[in-house]
Amino acid sequence: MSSRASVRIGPRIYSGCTVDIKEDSISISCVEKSRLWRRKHLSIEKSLWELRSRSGSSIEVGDIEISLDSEGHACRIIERILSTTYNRVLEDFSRELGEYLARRAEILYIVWMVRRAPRKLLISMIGELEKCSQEPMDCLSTTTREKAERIHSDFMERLGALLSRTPRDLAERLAMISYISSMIQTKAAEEDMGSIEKIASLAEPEIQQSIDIKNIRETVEALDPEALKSLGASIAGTMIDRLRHTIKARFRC
Amino acid sequence: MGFQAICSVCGSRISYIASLKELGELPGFDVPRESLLISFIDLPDTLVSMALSRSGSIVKLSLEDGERISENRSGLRKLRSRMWPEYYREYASRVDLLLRIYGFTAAQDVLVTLNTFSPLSVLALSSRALDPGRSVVLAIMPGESAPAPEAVNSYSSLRVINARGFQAVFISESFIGELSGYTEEWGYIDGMDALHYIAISLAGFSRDFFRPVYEDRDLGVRSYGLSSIIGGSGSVFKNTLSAMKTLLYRISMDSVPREVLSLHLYVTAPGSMLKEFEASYRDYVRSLEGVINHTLHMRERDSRLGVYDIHTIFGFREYPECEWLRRAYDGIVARNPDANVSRIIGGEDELKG
Repeated sequence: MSSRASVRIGPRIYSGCTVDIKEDSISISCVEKSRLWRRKHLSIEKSLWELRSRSGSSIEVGDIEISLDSEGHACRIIERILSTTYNRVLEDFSRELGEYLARRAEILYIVWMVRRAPRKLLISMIGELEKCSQEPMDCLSTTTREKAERIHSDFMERLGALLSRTPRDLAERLAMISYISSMIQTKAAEEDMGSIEKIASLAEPEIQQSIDIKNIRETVEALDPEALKSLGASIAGTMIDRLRHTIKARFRC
Repeated sequence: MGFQAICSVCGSRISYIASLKELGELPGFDVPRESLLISFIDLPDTLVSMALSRSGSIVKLSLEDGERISENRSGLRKLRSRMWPEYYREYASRVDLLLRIYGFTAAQDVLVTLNTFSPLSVLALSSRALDPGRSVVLAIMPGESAPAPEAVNSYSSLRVINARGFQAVFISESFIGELSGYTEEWGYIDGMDALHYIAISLAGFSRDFFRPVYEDRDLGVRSYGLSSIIGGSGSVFKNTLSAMKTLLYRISMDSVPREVLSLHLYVTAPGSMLKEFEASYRDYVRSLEGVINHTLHMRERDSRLGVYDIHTIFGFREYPECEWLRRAYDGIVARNPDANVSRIIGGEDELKG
């Protein structure tokens, strides 16, 4: 679908642009009207995210404004495209983070058992420990750390790929969600309610919602791998929902 | 409206992307384990041990009809033979791993009570998880009627105790048969129940029990005999001094070495009696000749009936000779070199001579 529109990129306004909106990309062709750039074509035929990176850091997603002669059809389309694109990023992120938190919960459950019931934990792993030539706890620590590193680097690789096609401000927000939900999981396994409260207080102004500390405390007390998984996932879910809502509000025409 | 997170304390921008690497770090695994472990190796279950078996500091290892492993006790399946070599082949690494899992290497002090005639004792004593510098062994010795396999196990255990330099309290089976006393918690107890009670009472003195024994090591004291009064009172003994004087005639060894080098008294009594015990102790040690180290440790305990316990260990330079065990061992090893315990203690065998 093509429309005629005027486009502002940073301080410049381009009029008489042709805006071609496809499912996940937008192509804008304009003639620049300023004295310096008279008659020079600005042709950007890339996805919206690539548009930003190609145009330099001075252009932010929110700076692109499109107004139409008609009655706002293109505006609604732009909103739909933006939110579809953002939603796709959020869906991918949500899936990757969910998997990470679930795999991480299994590791953190071991950390919790080391603190709470080391013998029970070691006995449950006696088969694996029979090959251990050091102290059983040292072997357990080594293998668990290796596993944790693999899970983390795997996630970082996937998250890195996802963030590379995400605007920096959104990338920071996704990193924040990853950090806060994972760190609360870690501190829950350490039964460190003090740190959990500090992290929650850092997150609350960002998500404009209070984190249910009482629920976290109950989860910490009755800790099992499933509780750890759902603790991280529910905090991440709340934050992702909030972010989705913020994005929708932001791009409303 | 931007997405940039701002620190609510200092107002600076927070880079969560930069912080993500912290998620790769796991909390430490060096959590504190039990500082004191009380272990019973192949001893029958008793009223006292069953009641206390849930305590995290008590660990039991025994031979049973099937294998079972749990947080506080492990049962290994009995094998065809009764002698330690077959068990050593089958279970040595498993016993070593279990002791490590139970935290023997991490504990500050370990009190091990064992039947020397059980094959498991040879395995436990030879495990590197049991550090002679942090352990005291209560070793039950069989009488002269012990069958050959038990005699071989017992003598082998004794050799390992000797070679590795464990401080050991030797307790004869006949002494256990005569052990009895009254306690307000358990009522009348005797035999193995009384021995469990004594072991747990001694360990209850914690560092006060272990420190003098470690100190004795540097003074050349290597073995001990045990003597106990459980549930002493004014109606049994004229006074606390006369109670102490009877201790030397109730020592737990079949053949008691002549020279007592040290003695350590562990008294649990009502608070009103502690001063009397202190005075009696001073008089008592004055009457003993040749003692180079002695200590008194007292713990106050409420008692409706005013009863007290005195557990004493007498220290000697030599290990017990147990000639009848050596004869049985030599006889078997001559026909079955596999039973020669030197092969598992190697260079340590002659270490303590």
